[in-house]
Amino acid sequence: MLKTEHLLSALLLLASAGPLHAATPTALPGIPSPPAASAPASASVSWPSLAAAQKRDLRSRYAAWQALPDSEKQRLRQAASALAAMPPAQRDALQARFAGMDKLHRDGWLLGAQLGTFYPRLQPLFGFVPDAERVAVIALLRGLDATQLEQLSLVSMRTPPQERDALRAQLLGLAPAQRDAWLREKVGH
Amino acid sequence: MMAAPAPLSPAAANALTAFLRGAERRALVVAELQTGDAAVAERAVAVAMRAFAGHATQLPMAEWPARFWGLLCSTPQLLKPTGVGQWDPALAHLGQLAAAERLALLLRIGAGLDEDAAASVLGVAPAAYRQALAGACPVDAQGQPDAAGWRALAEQVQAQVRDLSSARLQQLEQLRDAVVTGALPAKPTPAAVKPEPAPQRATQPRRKPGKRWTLRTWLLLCLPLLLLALVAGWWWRSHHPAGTADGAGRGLADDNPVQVEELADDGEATAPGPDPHAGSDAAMLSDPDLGLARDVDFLAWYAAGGPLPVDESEPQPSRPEPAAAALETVDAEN
Repeated sequence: MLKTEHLLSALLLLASAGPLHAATPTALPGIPSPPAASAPASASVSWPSLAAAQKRDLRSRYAAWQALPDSEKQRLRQAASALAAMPPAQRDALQARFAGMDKLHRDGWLLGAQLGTFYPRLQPLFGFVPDAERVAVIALLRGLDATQLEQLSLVSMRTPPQERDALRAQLLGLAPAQRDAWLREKVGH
Repeated sequence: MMAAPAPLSPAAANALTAFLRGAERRALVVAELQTGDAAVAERAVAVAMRAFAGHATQLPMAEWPARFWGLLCSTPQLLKPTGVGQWDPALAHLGQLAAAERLALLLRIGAGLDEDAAASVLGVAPAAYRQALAGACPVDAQGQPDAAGWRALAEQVQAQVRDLSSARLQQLEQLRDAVVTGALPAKPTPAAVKPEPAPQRATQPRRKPGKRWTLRTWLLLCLPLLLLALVAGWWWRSHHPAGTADGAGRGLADDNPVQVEELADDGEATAPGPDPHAGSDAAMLSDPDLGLARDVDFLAWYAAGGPLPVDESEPQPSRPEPAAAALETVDAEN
């Protein structure tokens, strides 16, 4: 029983849909965050008093923040300022809306505003990636502009499950200069 | 008798509406796939939404997801499905599972809860929850966990969430509106969902008195009883906190007592000796950006305009106040 459970844990790690692994800044959609408390640790709570899961969650979030490009960080700083200036009730309503979303979708936003926007459509292709590919895939995605991400989203949605691994390997094997042509070819224009 | 709910403030009503809009599709699909019966599922969702709305504003919003899903999973329909359910062939695996294992699986791949949250919702220890998941996982010919099967199942469940019919979406919207405004809906529950389009039913000049009246009567009789059962459940839980650790009397343990085995932890919680994270933790805790990092996902979502996922959007998804509109013009690429 124990063996089965360990095997399943490994399988769940592979098959779940969270985007970032704890304290792994370069992690990728597809590897779930560690079990976390339903709410992130509050700033008012002292670190030693946090449960292990809360500590892992905060480390994971910090790693996700550190992995963001500077332009994304700036964008999020502006968002934080806008939220801080908002009436509390309006801000609470937004937080409630976000908290109520599927974890799969919430976790996509750990990748930042740009990749988070595309994450639901990229998830079929990149939601389940081997551990060894995560660094390369995250670098690839960060290197694409919005148009290319839109094209890749189309490719992701069109690719049947049994062809996803091969397609991802093909894309990862391309030189950065080849990706644009490859994407245009794949989407048909 | 049900007490009339106190009217909500506009802000609370907005927050409640937003939360329910984000969760209701998944709730309906989880309930339907747990029971194998659309009508039963709709009744369970209606009960859970009403019970949730009656207490949500007394809770911190961070606790809303756990409470909502906890209420749904506490309904008798989900806890102990009694009828002979029916599942699509692509989801036939669900029908072969014990109810407790099926619910554990659906909370993960349907509700989208992480393991600890799902365990909490079901009132069991995380290890017991993982064991229930293990029992629910498809296996291959060698009896090993089948990753492809799991993935296909998860995608099929997500497709069900995404592809709910417009009639059922309309039912959910009516139910949500009724719950938030505190008014009884035109129909006690959306249990009468049938394949025919909702507008036809809305404009139908006369009803079939026999069947619909029977259904309504039944529902009016049962809803208070279900709510009474929920309230009794809350009372029991609040007075027997020690029973939750092993799931006694609740959720998974009811139908299928789960043997809890201690798993080797990842070494963080109790291992003696120096903390391997101490150095990086100190740097993190002294970083002035930690506050931003703590909300990185929420901030990113807001900066992008607060879109709702396709499978959780209304036909015209609302967006938050577009302070983010200017932000959207920022090119995130270098």
